[in-house]
Amino acid sequence: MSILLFILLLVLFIINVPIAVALGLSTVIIVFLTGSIELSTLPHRMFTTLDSFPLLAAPFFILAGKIMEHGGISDKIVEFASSLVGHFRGGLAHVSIVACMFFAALSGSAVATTAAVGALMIPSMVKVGYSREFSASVQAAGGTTGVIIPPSVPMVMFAVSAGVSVSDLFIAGIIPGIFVGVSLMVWVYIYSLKNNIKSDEKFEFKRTVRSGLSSFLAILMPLIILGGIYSGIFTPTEASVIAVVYGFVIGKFVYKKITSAIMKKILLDTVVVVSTLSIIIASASFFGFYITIERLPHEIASIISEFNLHPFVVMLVVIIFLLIVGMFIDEISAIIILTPILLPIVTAVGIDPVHFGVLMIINLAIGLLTPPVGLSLFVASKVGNVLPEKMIRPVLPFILIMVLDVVLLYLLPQLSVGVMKFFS
Amino acid sequence: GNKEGNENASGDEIVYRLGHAAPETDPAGLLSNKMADDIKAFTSEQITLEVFPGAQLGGEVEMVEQVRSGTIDMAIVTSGALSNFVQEVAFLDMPFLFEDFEHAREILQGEVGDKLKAKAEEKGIKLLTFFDYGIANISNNKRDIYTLNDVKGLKLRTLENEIFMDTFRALGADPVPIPYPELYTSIQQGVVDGTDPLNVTMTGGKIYEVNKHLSKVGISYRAGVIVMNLDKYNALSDDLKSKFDSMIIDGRDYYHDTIYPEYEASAEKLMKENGVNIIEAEDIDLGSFKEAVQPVYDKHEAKFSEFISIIKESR
Amino acid sequence: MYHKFVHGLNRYSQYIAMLLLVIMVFLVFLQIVMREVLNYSFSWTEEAARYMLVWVSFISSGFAYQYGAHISIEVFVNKLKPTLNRAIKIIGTVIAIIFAIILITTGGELVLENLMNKSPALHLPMGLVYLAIPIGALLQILNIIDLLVYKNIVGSNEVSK
Ligand code: NA
Ligand code: NA
Repeated sequence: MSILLFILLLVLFIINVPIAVALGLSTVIIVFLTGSIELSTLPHRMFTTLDSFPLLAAPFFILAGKIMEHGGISDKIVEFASSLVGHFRGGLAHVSIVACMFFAALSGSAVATTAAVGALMIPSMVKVGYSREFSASVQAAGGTTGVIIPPSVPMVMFAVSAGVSVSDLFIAGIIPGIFVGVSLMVWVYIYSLKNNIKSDEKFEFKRTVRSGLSSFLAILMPLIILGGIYSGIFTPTEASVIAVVYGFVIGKFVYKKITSAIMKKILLDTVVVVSTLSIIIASASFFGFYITIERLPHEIASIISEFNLHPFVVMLVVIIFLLIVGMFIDEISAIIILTPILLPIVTAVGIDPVHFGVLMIINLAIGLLTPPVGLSLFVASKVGNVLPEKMIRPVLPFILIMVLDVVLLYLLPQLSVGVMKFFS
Repeated sequence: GNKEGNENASGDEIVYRLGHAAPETDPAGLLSNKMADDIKAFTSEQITLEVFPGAQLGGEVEMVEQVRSGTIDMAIVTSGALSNFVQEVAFLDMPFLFEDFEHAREILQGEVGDKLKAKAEEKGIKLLTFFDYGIANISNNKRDIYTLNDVKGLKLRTLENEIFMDTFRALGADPVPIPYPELYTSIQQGVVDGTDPLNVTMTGGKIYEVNKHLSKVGISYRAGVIVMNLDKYNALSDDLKSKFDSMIIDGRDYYHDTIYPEYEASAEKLMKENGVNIIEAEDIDLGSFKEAVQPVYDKHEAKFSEFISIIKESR
Repeated sequence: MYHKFVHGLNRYSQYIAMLLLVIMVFLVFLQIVMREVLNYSFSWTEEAARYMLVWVSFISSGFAYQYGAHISIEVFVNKLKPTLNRAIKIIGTVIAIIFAIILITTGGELVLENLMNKSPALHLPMGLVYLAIPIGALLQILNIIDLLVYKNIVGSNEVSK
């Protein structure tokens, strides 16, 4: 029956049925055929999935991004950033990823990171000659550092499920997070060389100072968010609302760009994007629920553990398995379902649980970029105004690099658990 | 499929799905696994339990709804998850309600428990039994708490629950409702100073890493419940029903006698090893705490007078 | 006539969704300010904001179709001949309507079964909260039919503002 489910899903995708409908209806059909669960689970599951406070950060950051874009804040920040590093090859794309990494150090969510930085950077990257598809892909990939660089909601979930220390996992995740971010920049550099994208400007100290002063209030925004979270004034989710309020006040009263007509457009655009993403998340969660209750992940994991494989092979199989799971199931659900199943398999071949946690987080974060359920891909496509399927080719190199990162970070435990042991 | 497995009249094997939100190593997780082991022996292999731990199927309230609708058959949850469906259960959230675990068991296995079971049945939920989930204390990263004065001004996270929040206000703290997934980082980053943890929150939620002061104030008792879809339960033959019931009672008693005490000892050991300073109840000025929460009773008692009067008499 | 009716309805649902979004921001902001300045937290703002997100999501899911916003995979159908493409898009439309009908019936049952159950913080009847789902699904159907009759572009990603 599970195979039929995947076939149905594929057919519905191919005939252009909206992704949310395809996920929901294919599961409904199987549930109807097997009678395995009650159909009333569908609306209830959709409801409880959206009924989540940390999830609120995504709509708020999408709103904040649009306010920053229309309120003149994005322009100022980008102007300042490009006055700093715009003269490097691929400068603005590097700025995008570095900005994501800074933001990631504040936020525990990849979608929020892509939304917040993407609204700012994609238009500016397009302006200097990057294709819209590539610019959106940079944001989608860079945004995954939101869960890879601590703090990270999935890391907390892993620590709880695996019974390891949250702070150990956070510390172990710092270097790998930066490692992933830098590896993404390597591809940006190669891409810029290949496509001969360079800046027409030279570095001018005066310009940097001038731009720094005139964009002071805009640059202050990330500092307020960052400072507020680290000094414990508000939670990362609440920070998204601070971003909205601060952006609005600056855009309306200082830069005076937000009229009520523009505000209306901002709000309407936001509710449309939020709705489309929410409905996909909700449907995908019903699909995931069915998979869980039929114990499909359990069965596959038990097959993996039956063969007596070399540790490296086990890890490769697990990586591929997690890539496939990440295509269909969101990261947090996947962690809750799979951690108790996979942990015994990998610890049996000598992998440290914290080390595995770091690898699993990155591995599943790749799923944010892969269709059919790739939330970062969708958010970047919405923010960048491109079709998601047009992003599949430009985002593929980033996916391959992240897979390579997982393998390298597996082979170099010093970068994760080594650092953790040094601190404890 | 689940449905075809549920027709016990034909003598086929019945497969029940049981969900809970705890890690498998928590007491509730151990209880579920014990029942999954026992049920075959008790029912001569006629019933099998498929356990879904760690909130794989959703949060506690969601699982109760799944039990009600029949998507899953059983769930082990805290009583709070029931209060969406059976509002009266909320009286268990009142502060300093029971003297100790024995007192709570005596009440919940008596007349009060029977009344609540009847109310649950009206909602299609068979409430199989109550058990001790734990006691809520106060943890924080500022200071040891011996007196009411030590609580004053602390920002303490609790659930979005009026009784819990009013209790903290009555004790002089600032209650801050923060969702569980953000609890650890909120304490770490200082949005709140502490919380009202059960031992399972301290250990399972890793709160001992960020809160080094734990005072066993025992603000409130937390009951666990084992619930089942009423139709599924009623569909059991009388013989199977009595075997099933005795399996539940046996599991509950084993939990109270062995699982929970063993867990509690190991939890305290773990916390102490990690530098948590645990203040015992006898060193705390509990009398003034109990007096201070009188406003909570003034405000909420009337809603639950039917139950609270019975408890007061039994003290 | 039908076209006008749907667009009128969409205008109202847009205003409701936008208003809810503003209230959500306001509530969470208020909670932060109250806690940090007055050391007082409300016991219901988080629940209210969460439920509003559910309402915003479902109530907007209807008019989102008018913006071609619901994500689908077009790459395969766009390679087909226009007539076949059109036929498949009509099938897709019917499928989307079927799913919405299932949401209305199952969601409607959920509403009726939970009319008496109260939410933990606000003590709202959960049935009212769940009502977002059948209403959203109904708005979806109205908009899908509107697009099928007037534009025949359901499932398209093209922005058709
Ligand atoms: Na992060
Ligand atoms: Na994916």
